[in-house]
Amino acid sequence: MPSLENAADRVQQGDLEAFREIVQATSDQLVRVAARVIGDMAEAEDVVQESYISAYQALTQGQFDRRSHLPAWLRRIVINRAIDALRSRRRRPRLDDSTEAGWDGSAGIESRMALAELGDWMNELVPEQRVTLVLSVFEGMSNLEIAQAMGCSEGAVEQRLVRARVALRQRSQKNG
Amino acid sequence: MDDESRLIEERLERLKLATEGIQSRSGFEQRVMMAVLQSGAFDWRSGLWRVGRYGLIVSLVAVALATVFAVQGASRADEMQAMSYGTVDLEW
Repeated sequence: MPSLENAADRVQQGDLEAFREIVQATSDQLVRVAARVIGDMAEAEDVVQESYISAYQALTQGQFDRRSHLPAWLRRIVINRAIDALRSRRRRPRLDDSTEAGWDGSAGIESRMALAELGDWMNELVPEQRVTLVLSVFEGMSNLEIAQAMGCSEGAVEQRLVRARVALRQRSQKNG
Repeated sequence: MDDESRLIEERLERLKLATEGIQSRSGFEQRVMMAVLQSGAFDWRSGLWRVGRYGLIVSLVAVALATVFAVQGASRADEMQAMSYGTVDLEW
């Protein structure tokens, strides 16, 4: 993604339009990750928006150290924010789905229902387990990539995956 | 893998496929850019300088061209004036 790295350079020089290019190129993927982790579209967009503000500040202050590519760096910010959101979440009443704007067509309805199901199913998982499971199963990331994104060891990733599956299994046994 | 584990993996796979199409909703990009501007993260001075410096460059070029034309115009006027004085001298 050399053009994104180039855009990061331009943001550092105060070019706001370059930041718009970064948002255009990365927002779909970041919102999808956040939505899968949180299980709620509106909350996921809030998390991603806050992440972009942090990223903009970091870029303009020269804090993007380029040890990772820009999309991976942004994803790490979103993951940390999503974990914070899960920790501090106070269950707010869900919006009636039919009133939510921007969900058009059958694909939207299917995604929305699946998201609600996912959020409900994983509700009892510890935030770190939930994020690890989503990154592994849904985003197809390797344990090493997850460890780098979450700032933990590969062993911790494996442990969280095992515990997440055990928790889901216990939940289905309890319900069924 | 027992039945329970298989069911969990199948459910995960189904939900993965069903959420594959999720993307930011329309207007999200504009919302983010507005939030960045309102957050105080955007440095207005550097933004104005960035926009203003192009105006400054154009102004400097315009001033340089105007100076060249003014100097050329003045020397041409001097020559014409000198010629007209010469004509007057001949008539004398």
